[in-house]
Amino acid sequence: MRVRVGPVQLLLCAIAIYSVFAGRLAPYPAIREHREFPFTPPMRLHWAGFAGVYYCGLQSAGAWRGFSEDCTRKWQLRFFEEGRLVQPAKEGPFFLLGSDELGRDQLSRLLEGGRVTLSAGVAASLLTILIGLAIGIVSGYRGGRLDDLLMALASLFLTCPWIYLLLGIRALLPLSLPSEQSYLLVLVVAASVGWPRTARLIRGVVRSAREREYVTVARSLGASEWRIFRVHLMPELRHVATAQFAVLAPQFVLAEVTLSFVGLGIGEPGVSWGTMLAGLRDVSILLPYAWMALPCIPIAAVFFAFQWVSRRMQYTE
Amino acid sequence: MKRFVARRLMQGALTLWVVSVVGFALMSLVPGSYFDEARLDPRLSPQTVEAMRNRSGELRTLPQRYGEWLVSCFAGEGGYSVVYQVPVLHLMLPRLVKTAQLATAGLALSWLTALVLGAWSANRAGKHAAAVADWLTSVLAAIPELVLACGLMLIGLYAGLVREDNLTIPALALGMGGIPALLPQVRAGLRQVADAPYLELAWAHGIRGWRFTLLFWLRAAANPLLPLLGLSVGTMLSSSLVVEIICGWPGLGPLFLSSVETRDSHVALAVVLIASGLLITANTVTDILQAAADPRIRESS
Repeated sequence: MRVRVGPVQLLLCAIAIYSVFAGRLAPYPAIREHREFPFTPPMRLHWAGFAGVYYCGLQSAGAWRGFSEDCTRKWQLRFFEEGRLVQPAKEGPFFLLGSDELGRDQLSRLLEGGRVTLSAGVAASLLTILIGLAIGIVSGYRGGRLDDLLMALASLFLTCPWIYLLLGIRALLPLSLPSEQSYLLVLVVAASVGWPRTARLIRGVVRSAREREYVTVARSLGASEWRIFRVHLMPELRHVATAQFAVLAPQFVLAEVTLSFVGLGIGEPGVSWGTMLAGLRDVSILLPYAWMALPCIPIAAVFFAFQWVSRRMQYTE
Repeated sequence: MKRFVARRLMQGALTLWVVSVVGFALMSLVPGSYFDEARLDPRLSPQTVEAMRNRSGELRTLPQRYGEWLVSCFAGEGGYSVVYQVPVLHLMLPRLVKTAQLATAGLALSWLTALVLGAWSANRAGKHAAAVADWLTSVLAAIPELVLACGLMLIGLYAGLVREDNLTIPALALGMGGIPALLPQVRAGLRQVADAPYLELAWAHGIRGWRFTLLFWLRAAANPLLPLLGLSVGTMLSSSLVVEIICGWPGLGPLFLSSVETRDSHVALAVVLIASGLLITANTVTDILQAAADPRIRESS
């Protein structure tokens, strides 16, 4: 089977490469806490020509007064050491994008969290497409009672607005879980919300493909069901599945973000863009600590990328 | 037509009933309940918790409980909240009003923008408008409501617009979020009918400007546009949950979230049913309106 490299495959590769290297790009492990430096504002880099890049120390104006830079103390940033891209000095912390309430580096958390969020989005889409394919093909091929039953079930799922369904299904599962299990849980919840639309679509494709004249001709020439499926149905289904992926993946990224945002998705100490945004449920922290909203930027970027992919796919059709 | 309406209404009611049965069964079969938490509360004695549990009917069989719940629904209570110790409807009504306010404002905002921009950009003269519409669609489509609401709240906090009961920010977030799904469709719908002979005729009669747009063009485009209404009600309800939570709008969203967290099953079920009910109603109304506008649909179904 020849794999055509289209925009979706390119984007998937980009996500995979990013996921592999995210940990190396981050200056700190995502869960490393600097409790004495909560809510540090983003810090500046100081260039010193060929001598390297410096960052300043932090000084506090007193408890709860925030931090400012104190350039009497300077530390050099070292690059490509100990398997990390950037290595801050041991003496003072370095927060390029600020820190959160526990003094954890926002940049590192963004990088690590993106890995979780994106992989959850991709994995949930793949799972949904698999379920959708299975149900859609069975329904489309078998027809009759089973078809009616499955499609009635699908439309039952579609009568509820998706976010209520998402939280409703989430409510049926244990509320707090360790972070690895909660990752799987997000996948399961997302897939169980997403399958009906995909299954309907696939069923429609299967039904209409089976009615095509060339399929009838192939059958009358003695082609087996399996051959018809492989030669005539597969290419069409593959195309639909790829298009579905481009539509589903950003939705499931959003599903993960939403679930974690409301505190029912990835649990601490796991980190994702959604858990990073969870602090914004008390939105008044945005005023003094605007950098807490930073995950919004990569989320929008991911949406934009997938939108571009969908559009490219429409053009190439 | 009457038979069509009656059948669609019956279908809607039946679907809602099935949702209630499935939802009730699933919610009851889930391990763990509010009382597991209540037992850990030092302010409540074990006897009190047992008494509460008895009263909530947790010890009876599932069909019995469903029957009781159904009866209380018809009595206008909608079940009983174990957390707040009041009938669900008391809890729900003010919240429902709030969500309805917000969703209506959001719907109005997104539809108005989509119609105005859509009509302007579908017009033969509106070349710049098409660019504006394209640009707006692709930018807004890349910003999920959650992000949009955060951004608007930030602006609102700086501008001092964030006060209790101020609809501006949440409605703006909701309305802007609804635009990218609507605008291209509205434009395509208006384009589709733009060359229809009756529009040419109206134009030849010298009807111009808003009279032409409102009385002739939009009316002609009603058929492709109406299905969008049901769709947009669904997305409005979904995105309003997140917007409500971020903007602190006391609607159904925060209530639903807290009921999920505390396992207040009747409240959660009621919210799901109301959300589904609203969506089903919107779809049914859409179908009926469409059938009213186009006899072919009436006959075919």
